[in-house]
Formats: sequence, structure tokens, C-alpha cells
Amino acid sequence: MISGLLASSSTQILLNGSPGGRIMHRRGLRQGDPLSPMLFIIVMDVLCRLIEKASREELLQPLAKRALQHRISLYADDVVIFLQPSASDIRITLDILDLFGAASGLKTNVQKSSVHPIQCLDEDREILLNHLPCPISEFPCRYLGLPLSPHKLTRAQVQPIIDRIADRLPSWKADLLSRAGRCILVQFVLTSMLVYLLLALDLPAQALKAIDKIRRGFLWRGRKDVRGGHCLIAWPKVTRPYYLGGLGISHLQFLGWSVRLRWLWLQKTEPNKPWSFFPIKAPYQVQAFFSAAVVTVVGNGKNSLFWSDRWLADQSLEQLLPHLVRAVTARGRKRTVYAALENRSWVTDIKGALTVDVILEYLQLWDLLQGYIWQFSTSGNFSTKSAYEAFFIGSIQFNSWEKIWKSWAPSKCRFFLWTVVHKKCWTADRLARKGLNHPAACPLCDQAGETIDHLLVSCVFSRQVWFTVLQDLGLQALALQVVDLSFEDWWTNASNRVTGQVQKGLDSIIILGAWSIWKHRNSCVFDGVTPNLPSVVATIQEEMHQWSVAGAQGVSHLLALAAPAS
Amino acid sequence: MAAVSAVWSRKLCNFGVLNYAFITLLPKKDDATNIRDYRPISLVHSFAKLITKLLANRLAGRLDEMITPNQSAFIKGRFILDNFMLVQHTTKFLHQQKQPRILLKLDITKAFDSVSWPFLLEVLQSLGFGPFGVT
Repeated sequence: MISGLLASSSTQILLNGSPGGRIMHRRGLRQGDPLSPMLFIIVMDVLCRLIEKASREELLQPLAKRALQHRISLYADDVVIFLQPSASDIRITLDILDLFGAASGLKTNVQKSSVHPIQCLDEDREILLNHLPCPISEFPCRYLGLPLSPHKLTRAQVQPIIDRIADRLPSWKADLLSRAGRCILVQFVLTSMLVYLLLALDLPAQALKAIDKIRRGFLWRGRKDVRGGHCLIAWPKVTRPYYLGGLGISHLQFLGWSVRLRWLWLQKTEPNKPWSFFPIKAPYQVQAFFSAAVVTVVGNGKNSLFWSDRWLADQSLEQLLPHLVRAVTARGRKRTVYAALENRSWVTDIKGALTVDVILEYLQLWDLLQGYIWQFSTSGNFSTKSAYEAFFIGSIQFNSWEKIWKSWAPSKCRFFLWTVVHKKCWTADRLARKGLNHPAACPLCDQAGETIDHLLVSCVFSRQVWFTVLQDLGLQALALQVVDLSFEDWWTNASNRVTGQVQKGLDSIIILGAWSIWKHRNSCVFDGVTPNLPSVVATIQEEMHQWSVAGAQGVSHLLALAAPAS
Repeated sequence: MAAVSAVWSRKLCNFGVLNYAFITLLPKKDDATNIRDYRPISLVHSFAKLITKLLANRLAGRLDEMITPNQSAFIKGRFILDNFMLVQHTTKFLHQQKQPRILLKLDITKAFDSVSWPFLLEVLQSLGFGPFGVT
């Protein structure tokens, strides 16, 4: 079958779009064929077994007193072998490679290979020089795209990583992007670039700080370096999940910990990983967190039923082991996970006829129960997301997060509302506190000092705007009362008084209103426009129609309700 | 369907007509002049691709048992960093043992393009894949 495929394959080289003559294949696998990679690793496996056999028969001297399980590591064509620096070992390894090369066609290019001495003295280096035709290089070396070293990475060694991130910025037209747009780039490009790295390496705190500086600078200013004044909201607050008042940009330290927790988890759950021989080191916080999350094996076991709930893996025992569960007594079925695991009392529940199937599944269950349970996710399996979120347990909930981030609105408006609710807009009161130029009174009403709550809520001008807009939609009952002093409170109250589509529409319109008032305020302050009520209302109404066309269903619903009335 | 079962029953007489591929050359660097600066990518005929995908799906499930655990590329359930973890921890471990050791990093020339077929078929046979008539 496979030979047929190989033998019948032919290739035409496509040069500048036109196919050349047909070439029949005699060797090699085709790139772009789904089967090729698998055939390739099957071939590479032979090399792996050759080396391991040589090691077992002590042709190659052991690496350490405790026999290491693996002395060779292969990832497709990336091969790493550990050896003793002795002439005979090197000779044998090179012979094996030659033999393998001659048989399989996969020749090793010794000149391009490299050797990295570990704890080698001068005489060992001498041997290497004499017997290995490849250059000797020092750690750290690159393996699978990551720096590899027996030591902690120094600052200079981490610098290329930071530079690579910084290099991404200039090609993005940052000035043309809103902050909301840059926020997306920060989270999904800059931060994502790091995940692979963080999984493998515990980067020094300094490096994380440097990366944070880049991310922060790009978010607020669109460039690498930034001063505090440009950043409206403190970075620790930005790097929280949405529901805790952040922007959902990952906190690097927590992200790193939570992705690396996976190794601890895999070491417990999948003991046949090639590296499971080694103790995994983790910072003590992580270790403590891990034991809290896992050792309390069945954290919520009192609420789930042993036989019928999905507490183990992602299936219930009923689905997993149907024969065995049928042999369980009616009373036994009511047992909770907690009760069943205590003294292994689940064993006593099995009362039915013991057929071969039942016994087989019984033994299977014993195996399953050696598993571990991850407290923070519902399936009991480890997930990075649940681990990451668990690092924030105990933080204060941010009440308005759903209203801001789940409402339909352009992201730049939502971003603005996020700064409003944190009270971090550059209104007169905050400018004054910093000793900066500021308008003496609210530019819209000229009656009171300007704060963000005054501007959006208690200002006479804004009240008028809100009232007109909401009246047109038949929602004047929700408009501002004299007692309303805080924007966030008013929004929460108004929003809670309606439900369903109306609520969604209202949330969108409040975001739109606040955004438009702020825009108008800015044009008054910076462009010297005089406050003009009809023009603000007209802008809001026009935008409203555009939002509804663009897909804001809640707004469309409100407009449809209001249409017959007007 | 008929075509697939024909392939299955090894009526491969004219399969060569379908099993051809175009090679396009993707430049590896900006100013690629030498042929070595290009990475060849085959555009395989869709039917041949269907057949190989069928075989690949069948093979994928068994790979985990066949391949030693210290090889993690292209196998479901294994992960590139398994290899990195292995190498990194071995390096650190050997470093702590304070015995002279070396890490040999190999470079295999034109890995994909130079697999010898008879060798591959022999390996497959010894792994228990049915007999192959080498054509």
C-alpha cells in the first residue's frame, strides 16, 4: 500500500507558475503529504533504538550512577544525544550515526552539528577536539527555539527575547489604532508570543518587568517607552481579568506560573512522559498552590454522586463502565464521591452478578481512581485558564464589567467607559491635582467644577441630553433624577429596572451617550466649540441608527419599540 | 468510494496518474539565489491526498505505542516541550553530578528528502505492517 504510494509518486516543479517536466521519485518523502511526517518519525525511531540498545549493552558508558532513562531526544530531525567525553563513546556514536545514515539515507552533517561540554575539564576538551569534527560551543544553546542552559539565564541571555517582542511594535501603525485596538494586539500578539517561552522557562523577574514595560508603553502610547502620565490606569489593575476590573491582559507572572503548573500536573497524571524521571522544581508559591489545588483530591465531592455524576475525567462512571454500574445496588447509587472514596466504601456497593465484563471494569475502576482531581475546573482536569483565574481568587469583583464588556458597542467606546468607571479620565479635578492646566468650571454648564461624575450625571447639560435621548425611546422613567450623583450607580440602577433586549439596548445607549458627551466636552475644551444641546442629541441619534445597522440588536429593538410611538 | 476501494485492493496500475505533485519553491531568505535557499512544498493531487490522509488517520492512533516516548513530533498527545523538558532537565542533572559529560546536537542533512524507501519498508515490516511488494 505505502510502497505503491511512494513508487507512483511523481513531481513537477512549478517554476513561476508553469509546471516543468515530470520527475519520478526514487527516495525521500514529500513535504505537504499528510503521511510523510509519520513515516519520517518511524524511521527516526530506529536511530533512537540503536542508541538505546548501545547504551543498554554498555557500549556507551552510563551517564550517571542512577541510570537515566533516556540519553537521546528527538523532535523530528532535531536530535540531541548525551555522552561521556571518552574517545570510545564518541567513536561508537559516530559509527552508529554512519550506519544509520547508510541504511536510511539520513546522513548526519557532523560539521554542522555542535557539541556542548557539561562540567568538562581541559583534557576532556582535548579529547573532543581530537575525535569530534564538529565545533565546541558553550551554553546557552538553542534547542527547539528556546535557550537551553544548565545555569539560570542571565540578563544578557534573555535580552534577545525581549528585543524580539519590541521588534514587533514598529511595523504596527500604532498611531492609527485606538487604545482598544492596541489592547487586543498586546494581549493576543505580544502576550501570546510568550506563552511557548513561559511554558518552558522561568524568566527572571527583571525580564518580565522589561516585557511589561513594552506592553504598557504600546497599550497607552503605541511606543516602547512611556511616562507614567500617559497611563491612565495602573498596570497591576490593567493586567486583571475583565471581571476584576482589568483589561484581560495577562499578568505575566501568574500566566507563567499557571502554564508551568501543567508540568506538575502531568507528572502526577502521566508518569510515562520522558522527563518524568526528574523532579520538577517550582517556586514555593506555585508548589503550595498546586498542593492546595490537587491534594484535596475531591474538593467538592460531597455534592456529586460517585456512580452517576461526571466527577472523574469527563465522563460519568455510568458511561465509562456500564456493566459495573449495573451491578451496583440502588442504595449504593446514592453515594457521593466523598463518601465513596472514604475507606473505599464504593467496593461494597457492587452486589450484582459478577460477569467477566463486570470484573474487567472493576479492575479498570481501580486504575481510574488513582487519578487526581483539579479543584478549580468542573471536569477535574487541569486547565491553564482555571489555574490562571485561581491566582486571582480573593480579589474584589468589579461590578460593572458585564455592562461594559458584554454590551454591544465599539471597543473604543467600551475602553472609554472602562476608564470612566475607574474615574481615571483627565477631567478638571484630576488635572488640578497634578497642577496642570485645566478649565475652571465644567465646560458644558459652567456652573460647577468638572469631575467625571458631574460631567456625565449631575451637569445640567448632560441631564438634558440623557432626558431627550431616553424620552425619544420611551424610557424617560429611567432618566437621571436629582439624587443621582454617581454615573456607575445610576447606570446600575437604570439597567436593573429593565430586562432582556431592552436592557441590552439601554446599556449600549448609555455607553453611546457617555462617549458622545465626552467627545462634545473635548471639542468644547480643545476646539473652542460652544456647548450645543441639539447637535449632541442629533449625533447620538444618528450613531444609534448606525449601531443598530451594524448589529446592535438591543438598540434595534429599542428603536423598533419607539418607532410607532413617534 | 469505488476509487478508494480500488486502491485498497491494490489495483494501483494507473495510480501514478493521480499521484503526482507540483513543487513550489518557497524562499527561505529574502534574497534567495541558490537552490538551497528555497524550501520545496508539494501541492499533492487531492485524490492522492485523500488516500494518504486515510492512511495517516489510521496510523496516527497507533503511533503512540510504536514510537519511544522521547520522540514527540507529530504524535497526538505528545508535546514539543516534552523534549525540551527532557533535555533541559538532563543537562541540569548532569551538571549537578559534576562529572564531565557532553551534549551532542546533530544536524541531519535534508532530512525529509533523503529517506531511503527500502529501509522504510523494512522498518514498517518489522513493526508488523503487512507484507509490501516493493515495486
